[in-house]
Amino acid sequence: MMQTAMNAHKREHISTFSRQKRRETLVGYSFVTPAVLLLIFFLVLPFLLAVAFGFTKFNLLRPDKIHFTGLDNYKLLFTDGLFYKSLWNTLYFTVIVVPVQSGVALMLALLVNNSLKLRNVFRIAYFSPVVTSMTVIAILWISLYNPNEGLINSALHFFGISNQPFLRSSSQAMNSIIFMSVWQAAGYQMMIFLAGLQGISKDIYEASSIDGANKLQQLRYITIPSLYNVTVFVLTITTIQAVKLFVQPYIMTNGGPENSTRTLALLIYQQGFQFRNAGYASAISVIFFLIVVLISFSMKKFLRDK
Amino acid sequence: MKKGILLSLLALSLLAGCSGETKNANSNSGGQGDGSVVELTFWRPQASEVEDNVYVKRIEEFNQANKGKIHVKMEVITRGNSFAYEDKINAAVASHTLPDVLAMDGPNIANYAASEIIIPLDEYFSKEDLDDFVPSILQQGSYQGKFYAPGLNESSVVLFYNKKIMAEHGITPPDKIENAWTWDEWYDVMKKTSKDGVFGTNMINDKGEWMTYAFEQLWISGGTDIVNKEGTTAEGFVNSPQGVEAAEFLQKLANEKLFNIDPKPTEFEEGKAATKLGGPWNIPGFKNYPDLEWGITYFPKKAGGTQTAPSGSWAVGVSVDTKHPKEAAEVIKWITNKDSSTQLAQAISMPASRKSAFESLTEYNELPLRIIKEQVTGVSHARPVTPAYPVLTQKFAEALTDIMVGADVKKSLDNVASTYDEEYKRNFAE
Repeated sequence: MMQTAMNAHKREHISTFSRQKRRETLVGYSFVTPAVLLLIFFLVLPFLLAVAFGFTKFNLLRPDKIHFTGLDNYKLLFTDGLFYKSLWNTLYFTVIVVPVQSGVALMLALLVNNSLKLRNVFRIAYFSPVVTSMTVIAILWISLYNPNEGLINSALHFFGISNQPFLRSSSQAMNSIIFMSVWQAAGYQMMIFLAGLQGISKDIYEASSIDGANKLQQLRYITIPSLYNVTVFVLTITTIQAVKLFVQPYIMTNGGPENSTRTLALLIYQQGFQFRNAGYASAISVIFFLIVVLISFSMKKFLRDK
Repeated sequence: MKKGILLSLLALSLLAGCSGETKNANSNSGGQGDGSVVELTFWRPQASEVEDNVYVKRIEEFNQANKGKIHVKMEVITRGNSFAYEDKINAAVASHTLPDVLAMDGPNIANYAASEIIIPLDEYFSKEDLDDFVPSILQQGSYQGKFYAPGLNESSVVLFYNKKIMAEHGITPPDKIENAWTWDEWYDVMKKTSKDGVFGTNMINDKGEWMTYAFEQLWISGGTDIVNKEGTTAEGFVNSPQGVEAAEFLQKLANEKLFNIDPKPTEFEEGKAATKLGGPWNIPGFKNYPDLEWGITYFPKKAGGTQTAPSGSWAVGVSVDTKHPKEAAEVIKWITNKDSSTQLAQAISMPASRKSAFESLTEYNELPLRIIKEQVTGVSHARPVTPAYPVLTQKFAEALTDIMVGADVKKSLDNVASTYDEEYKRNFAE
């Protein structure tokens, strides 16, 4: 009798439990449904379409005349000098920008983390380019870089350096864009580093100064190791942002002079929307995607193995 | 749980709502309306207020005149940048939601005609009516022997000059077309006037369409063009010896710093440039610079070459998606007839697209506007009529920009030729 009661109780408990669990699962699923649907419609589906279009000839103005061309787009791609040039430019930009920008950001963060009187002014000054639209900044820098009466050339003139062509020279254009990009975006990484710096306990610094460590040693043995995770994060997002370089060359140079600032993103835009070769642009996008995946994975592996 | 279901229902209905809306738009564009009134839609990009007002007025008058038969609804589309309007057309093509009547930039006509998104209008225009358009309008509006889209107005590029600077150097710019400056004479003028922060000329409006619009004429003046007449190849045209000579001329001006490759838009107005390659659209802005005394002379030509000038404008056509081509053609005839052409020309100080419109535009009979009229009605050339125009203009503009900053002339032009030819072969040959 007692056993039956107990069993009944247990059974009831189990069934309430499982009912509740099932209920929770259902609620959970219904909560994620909108997000999943949106993801499927606006991310997964377009991506799959891009992969599919990569195997077709597809003129944007003739959507009814898509036809399958197999690997033609890829064959064309691998013989297209402009693709290699764009790939090279994209990688060059990334390889320079990622360490330089992260380094500058770290130094700025160390600076504004001090108990300087004007540190809030500095913080605002370094962060303000980040919140300004890149389009506005690009247009502003076009006039700064103006080969004839730009401010930078006027400044160089003061030091006796002759006028530089900057964006109008195939050897200087990309570096000019790099310089400006670092200036614009470093403030963002600075903020992340700053958050990291403020998370380091003051006690460690106090303990180390009792042990006789100087500022440089503190930086080397406390600050930088403590920022490891933050650094990994900063390097990863900077890399992903860098390979997507588009706005600056689109507005400032249109990929020129002599394609020296043509990037993969710009090439995709030009082929897809300006030349309306949606099939070919899709093929480039797929390759671009694979390259980004490859970079992200190898970075993750490299940084984790350390 | 109820909440969850509600949420997902909401999401679903949102998605359904999206697709529902496109369906509605679809049925609207070709819509029959009720009764016998034919409802038509007309898309055009937003322009200046005065220009917009002309279209609003003319469409209202059209609806009044055709009461009970045709009703046009005009949709003005924000242009944002120069491709936003074209992007909207691309999207509408994909979803078959094009309006009955649409405006398009002149050089896009061939591209749209070749892609079969607009229909030929020959049967709706009489021979006399067509002949009233200035020749360059017929040229830009035709593709493979059929006429697709008349222009709303015309345009031209002239050489503006600063009268004070010319007087200082004792230069008298020509006011008769047979005396138009040659490149060398223009070069001498630039050489003389270029000093103390003043450039000999200002000729960069933008580094996109402007480059093709304005500088293709140097090729034409030399007796060639940037593609062949049929538009099937650029090899031997854009990179022909005459083409190389034209590009070398531009490079020489750049090397000697006779113009600013990144000018302020108001360089000429502020007296910082002695001459300016520009168009009628610049004239209204000159009023803001009372110190500026300006004159107009002809687009310079190659010594012994053809006198020419750029032309081209926005045009209107009928889309393949329309269910009422006849009525849509009526709208086009109305919006490009003599009255519309005259009113538009008066409002925006651009030359008219019809010869008859010039009759009532008496200001074009004397200097300085006479020069624009002479160019528009006599010597202008439209940009190449080719379905691969988007590639051509992009690559040509890139090459000219590169050449102006020192790139190898022959190599840059060869690259335009090969890129264009490959593109044409791949997408339009047959």
